[in-house]
Amino acid sequence: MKYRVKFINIVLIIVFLFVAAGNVLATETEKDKTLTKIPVITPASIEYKLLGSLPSVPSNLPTYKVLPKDLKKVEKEGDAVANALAFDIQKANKKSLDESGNKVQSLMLTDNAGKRLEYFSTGAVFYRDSEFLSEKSADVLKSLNKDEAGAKDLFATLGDSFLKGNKLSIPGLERKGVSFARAQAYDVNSKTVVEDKVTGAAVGYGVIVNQKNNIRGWGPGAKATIYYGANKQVTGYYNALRNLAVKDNKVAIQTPDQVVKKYMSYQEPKTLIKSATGEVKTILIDKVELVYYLASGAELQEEVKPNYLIQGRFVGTDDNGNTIETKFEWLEDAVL
Amino acid sequence: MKKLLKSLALCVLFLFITVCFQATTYGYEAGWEAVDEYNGLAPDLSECVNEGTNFQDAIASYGGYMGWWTSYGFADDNAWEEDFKEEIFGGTDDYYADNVNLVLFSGHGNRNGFYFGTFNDDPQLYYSEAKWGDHQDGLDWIIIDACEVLQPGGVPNVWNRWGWPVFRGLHYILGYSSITYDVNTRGRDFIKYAMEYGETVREAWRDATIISEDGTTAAYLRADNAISDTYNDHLRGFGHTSPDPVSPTILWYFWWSTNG
Repeated sequence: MKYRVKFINIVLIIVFLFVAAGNVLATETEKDKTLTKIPVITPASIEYKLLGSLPSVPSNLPTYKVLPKDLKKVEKEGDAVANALAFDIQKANKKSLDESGNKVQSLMLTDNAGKRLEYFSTGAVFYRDSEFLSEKSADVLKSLNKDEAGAKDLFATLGDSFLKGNKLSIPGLERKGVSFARAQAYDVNSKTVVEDKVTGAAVGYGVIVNQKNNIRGWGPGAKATIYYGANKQVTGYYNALRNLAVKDNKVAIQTPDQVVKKYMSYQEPKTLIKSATGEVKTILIDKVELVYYLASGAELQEEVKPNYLIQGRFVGTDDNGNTIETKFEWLEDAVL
Repeated sequence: MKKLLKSLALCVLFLFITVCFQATTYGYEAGWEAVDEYNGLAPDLSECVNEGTNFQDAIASYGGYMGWWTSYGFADDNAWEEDFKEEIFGGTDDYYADNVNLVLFSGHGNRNGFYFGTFNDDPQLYYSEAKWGDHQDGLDWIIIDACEVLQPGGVPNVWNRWGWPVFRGLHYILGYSSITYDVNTRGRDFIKYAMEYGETVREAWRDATIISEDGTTAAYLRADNAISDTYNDHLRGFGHTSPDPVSPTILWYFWWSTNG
């Protein structure tokens, strides 16, 4: 017995060593990443051009603090979104995440039909059912017997009514537009598109954060969207808008001229957009606008401050020497 | 008797170590490559590498218990185009992108491909250089978090750029048909929805794009054949995963706005 046990040990050690050796051999096939071939490029001096006029702005603006949402209260008492969607919070399965990625708490509620309602401590809320942006859904335009323009008008009206009727509208909320989700199927053998349909509509809203000076919110958190299916039913709803209260009533801000000078002083092109630009030779500034940046509903943002949004085009050359223009956007702090 | 128990305990310990070692090595693999510093080839970005590390952290947090792990993560000068390129074109995707289940690229892109900051072996992964899923246990899903890679129209259109023959067992290309912004949360949110909440791959990408953007158009391209069912794909271990659509007969392209 004594020897048998020892034999088992030896076998297990051999198995372990075999696996370990296999892994060492496997990792040896990886390349040496220190042999990187870094291009040697002397940065060309960039020519900046300001097109159009700069906006007139107030000399000071308020900043806002974000009032967090109490998820325990939502779980206990429900809220207007759940009511609007006839979602029974009490009967739903609940899953809480203490930290949904970035110091944000979330509460995911799932009902027996698979509908999901997700609340974030930022104030964002996200609802979706099984028809939400699905390629399997029925064709919206065919079901309604409408063209795109007619369907857009219909969904715009439905969206406005949904918000107003359920008291989900807030001051400063403005409809931005209606868009469609589209599915296409391509037959590989015949090389033809065999199905093409509109499977959902989205009515999108933005927000004017500071109504006195008509300054809008900008960023992933500056939106509320209602999604509709072929039967005009709400299939999804996402509202990232935070509950804000004035933090500092008068904060001095920079002039647009100061900010544009700062942007033009950069030796390299600055952008928030992940577009391949080629080598940038000229930067055309089309528009400078005062905005309030609103972060994603899943991101912690304790304070909302004014920023300058600089928009324009990079003019460069591609690999073949052709001139290409790509859109850029950049944010600069507006607070002095 | 005491010696016997001691030996048995030792056996169990060895077995446990071996199983753990195997789980972390042969479980479900992910990889990421991200570029913030373009060395003058394109404007620098600031959040792509953070997106990669957040993606990796989320996999460890939400998928580690299921055997998911990140076998490589390459940033800036260590992110190479050839890691995504097919061998016959001089690439080494069999060791990297096509040797894992899920891969994330974050950086610049356009309708023809996505971009790197070095010449290993060139800065652009052009669509015609990609064949994914053909390696044994090859790539199932790729997230190309870059602008306009899945833009539908133009010549050639999305089918002829990223459709067949790129799909050689690959289930999905998840990306954007419009521009997209430099944020560090999207990969992490995708993993959270796919792993923590068990959403399908297409649902997790849909939700991650809606939360992280305003006004852009996200998209995916997926392949299917008579025996596959990629529409209902979950990340491996988190629900039904379709067999690989090795020779796809149909490609589905779906796109949606992240606001109205």
